[in-house]
Parts: sequence; structure tokens; C-alpha cells
Amino acid sequence: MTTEANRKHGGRRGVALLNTMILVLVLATLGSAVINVALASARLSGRRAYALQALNLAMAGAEEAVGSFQDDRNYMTAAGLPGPTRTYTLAGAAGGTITLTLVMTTVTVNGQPKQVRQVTSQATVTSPFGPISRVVRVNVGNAGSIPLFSYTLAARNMLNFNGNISVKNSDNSPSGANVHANGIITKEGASGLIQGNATAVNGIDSNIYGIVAAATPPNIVNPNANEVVFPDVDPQWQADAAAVANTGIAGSSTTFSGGGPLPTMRGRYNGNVVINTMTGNAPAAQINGGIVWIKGDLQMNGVIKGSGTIVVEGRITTPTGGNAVVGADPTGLDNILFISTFAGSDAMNIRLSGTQDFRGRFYAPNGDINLNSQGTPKLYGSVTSRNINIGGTPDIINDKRNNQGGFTQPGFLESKGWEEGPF
Amino acid sequence: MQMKTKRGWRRGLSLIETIAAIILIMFAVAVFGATFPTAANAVAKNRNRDTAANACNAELDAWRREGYDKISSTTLKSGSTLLRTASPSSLLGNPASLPAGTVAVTISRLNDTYAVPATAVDTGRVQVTVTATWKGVGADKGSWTLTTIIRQAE
Repeated sequence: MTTEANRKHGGRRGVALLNTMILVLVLATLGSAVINVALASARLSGRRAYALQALNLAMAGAEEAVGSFQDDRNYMTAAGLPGPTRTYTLAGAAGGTITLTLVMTTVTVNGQPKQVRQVTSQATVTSPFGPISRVVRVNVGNAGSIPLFSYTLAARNMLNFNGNISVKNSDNSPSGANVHANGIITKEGASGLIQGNATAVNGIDSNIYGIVAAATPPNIVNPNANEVVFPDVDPQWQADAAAVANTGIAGSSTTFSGGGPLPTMRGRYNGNVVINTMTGNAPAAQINGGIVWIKGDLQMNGVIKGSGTIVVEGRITTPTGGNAVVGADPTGLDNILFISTFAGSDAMNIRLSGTQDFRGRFYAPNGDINLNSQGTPKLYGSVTSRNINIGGTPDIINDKRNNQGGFTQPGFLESKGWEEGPF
Repeated sequence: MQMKTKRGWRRGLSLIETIAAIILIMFAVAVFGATFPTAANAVAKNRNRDTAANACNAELDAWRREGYDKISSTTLKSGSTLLRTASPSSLLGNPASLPAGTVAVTISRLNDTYAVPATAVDTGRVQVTVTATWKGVGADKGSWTLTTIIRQAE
């Protein structure tokens, strides 16, 4: 009996320790789980928080790309930038490195293929878990542009030829360089040429008949034509363009005087802008495809190079004497749309001079354009305004040159939407 | 006799076992007791950092929706850097989900080299920085900052 009891007692010895060890094991497991949860939580929460930093920087890169393309269609592709990628750093507690990569690609919008500039913005921030990156991709494409006439010369009221003016086609074909007035067309010059139709609602000077070139089918000379809808500046376009060019430059006057690198006109100028004459008619300023908004007057004594749209609330003038020129790259690649919203008889007083070519359009829906020339300059483009007065001996040319791809309507770029990577 | 001695030794072993068990338990409880609050604190801190980061992100989203024109015309009238006291997302002050939390916004104009310009010119580019700060129990306190650029664009 005793032996049995002893055996039983001996069997219980070590149970306390065993139970304790089991309890310790359980506690250790629990403790380890709690620590693991805390560590995992720290890792996840940390990575999420840093990822949000990276995401906001990547979106900053996308914003930068969209805004910059509205200033400059050639953003990231212009000389001086390191090709189609750009890396910069944003300083500060939540700063990091942003890399923009540009590709031109085609996307389908409403079933239609559209060519867009696609910018991938990758941002990287430093974290205790190593570098953390996020990617955002934004498509930037053409926004709408204002509807200009297909006429080479178009007046809301009167179109007046006062010189030896030729309205021609760039390929010298007899048809296509059409002129129209919702009022009358008058002519006071000795000779001239129109390689297209001449139409007006309230009459055409009889002299005009002699200068219409023969064509097959014959060009129309119609002094009793129907009135056509004159292309006013679309208010929405105007509002959008003003918003795009909202980067204001203060001051009553801004002067461009060339230099290296050639200064770029961009954004909004709150006062007058003067383009100075440079030696050898070198450009004094350039425009890189964006919208430039000038609150005051634009005085062009010299050359603006490039392509884009310049909206002027005041007058556009060139000096009445001297050798002021408008435009232009000798290769004929420049393409500038000048718009004056000024309502008055001197919205644009433009003098083309020498043998320079200018490629672009003059558009003053509420005012008059007075176009004079010195020498025999060529204007590849069009003139559209309330009244048009043309003097001197310029060639106004309807641009059909295949190598130039015709006249491209200047517009501006806008975001077509963005998405978050990975891609 | 020999048998008796052996039994006595075994009895002594039970005491040692018990003492060892008690020490082990005390050790385990001490370690667990120290670990658990720390871990719980860390979890709370992480949760609050999450909340802070989300609050900052929501604030930045609200500013992005506000747009450059509005920011530039109303917020930055008198200087290149201002601390805004009203928020489009109503998160400023004391966000309910953060203990003793505050959200502060700094808006600075940036020039084209991404530096704050010396004068308050309209550069078409602002940097918005949002910092959320909280103070919970014990070591549960901290702040989180997010920043972005809002660009003038149509």
C-alpha cells in the first residue's frame, strides 16, 4: 500500500515544473504573437504611410507634366533637357525624387485613336524599410481650338486691297486661296492676283474681276453671296486659354531682347510686351506651342520664333517705319496664331518687311487688321478680322506645302486622365 | 536505509521544482507584462500613424480639388508661404480619430527649380505640405507629413 502510494507520489513529482513550462510556453507563444503583430503592424503601417508620401510626389510629377505641357508643347523634348526623361528632387520632410518619362503613344478615346503625350511619374522616398516608390501615369492631349475660317482672307465687314497684293496658293495652283467679306470688297491697287474665289455679301469692286486667275472649274466672283457665320472667339475657349495662361508675370512692360538661350514667352503678361529688333533679324523671343496671354499691347519690333498662340487684349503693332518683321524662321516652320480681342480700328497694325516668310494667322474678331508690307514678304496663313486693309506688295499665301503639313491649328494641351501604377 | 535516503532526496527535488516553476512563472509574467503594453502601444501608434497619413492624404486631395487658381488667388495673397487656418476638407483643428490630433497646412510658392522664391510672384506652382500630429497615452505620439505640388493647369 505504502509502496503504491509512494509510487503515485513519485509519479506526481515534476508535474508542477511541467505545467509551469507549458504555461511559460503558452505565454511565450502569446508574447511572440503580440510582438509579431506589433512588428507587422509597424511594417505595414510604415510602408503604407511612406507609400502615401511617394504617391503624392508622383501626383506632383503628373501635375508638373500637365502644367508644363500647357506652357510648352515641347516640354521634355526641347534642347537642353536630358531627352525624354527628367529627374528632380522635392526637398522637405516628405520630399523625395521624382522621375518623369515621356513617350508619344496612341490611346482610344470614345472609339477614336488619339495621339497623346504619355508621362509616367515615378516618385521614390527613403524609408526605414528601404526605398519606396509609387507610379502615376498621365495622358496629355490636344484640347479644342477655335474654329477659324478656311478663307485666306475673311472680313466680318469690309475687305480693302490697297496695293499690288497677291492672294496665292503655296503650290501656285489656281484654286483654294479664297477671300470673303460679309460686307464689301474694294480694290485700289494697280495689279494683283487671287488664286481662288472672291465672294462678298454687299458687293465687290469691279477691279477685282480682273485679278481672279482662271481655274477649272472657274473661280467664283460673287458680289451677292450669302453671309457666312463669322468665327467669333468661343467664350469657353477663351476662358480655358486664359486659365492655361494664368501664370502671371507682373509689371507694366516686359521686353524681349534675344540672348542665349532664347527667352521663351509663356503664361500671362499683365502689362505691355515689346519684342526688340535684333541684329540680322535674329529672333528676340520664342514661343513653344503654349498659350501666351498679354493683358496690354504687343509691340513687335523684331522676330518671334516658334509655334503657338498669342492672345492680346490690347493692340498688336509693329512700327510704321524701319525694318520690323513678324515671324519667322526661314525654314517656314514657325506657326503662330495672333489673336487680338481689342475692339477698334487699330486692333492690329502689322508691317511685314523684307523677304521674310511668316507662317501663321492674324485674327481680330472685334477689330480691324491693317496689314502693310515693305518689300515682298510672304505671309503663309490667313487674316481674319472685322475689317481688313491690306497695302503694299505682300503675298498672302494659302499654305498647301506638303512638306510643312499645311497649317496646323494652334491649340493647347490638357490632361486626358491619369491612373496609378504599377503598369 | 538506503531506500529512505532516496525518498528524502526526491522530496527535496519537489521543492526545487516548485521554486524553479515559480521563478519561471515570475520571469514569464514579467517578460510578458513588459512586452504586452509596449506592443499594444506600438500597435496604437501605428494605427494613429495610419490615421494621420490618411488625414494628410485627404487634406491634399481636397487642396488638389480646390485647384491652383483658387489657392493662388485667395490663400497666397500676401506672401509666398502662409499657414492656412481654414481647410477645404474640414480636417484642420482636432480630427476626431486622432488623440489630441491637429492637422497643419503650409502652402508655399515654388519657382521652376522647386525652391521657394524670394518674392511673392505668381509662379504657377505651389507646394502644399500637410502635417498631422497626435499625442495619445505614454509613448503613443508623433506626426506624419505629406507634401505635393499643385500646378497651374486648365
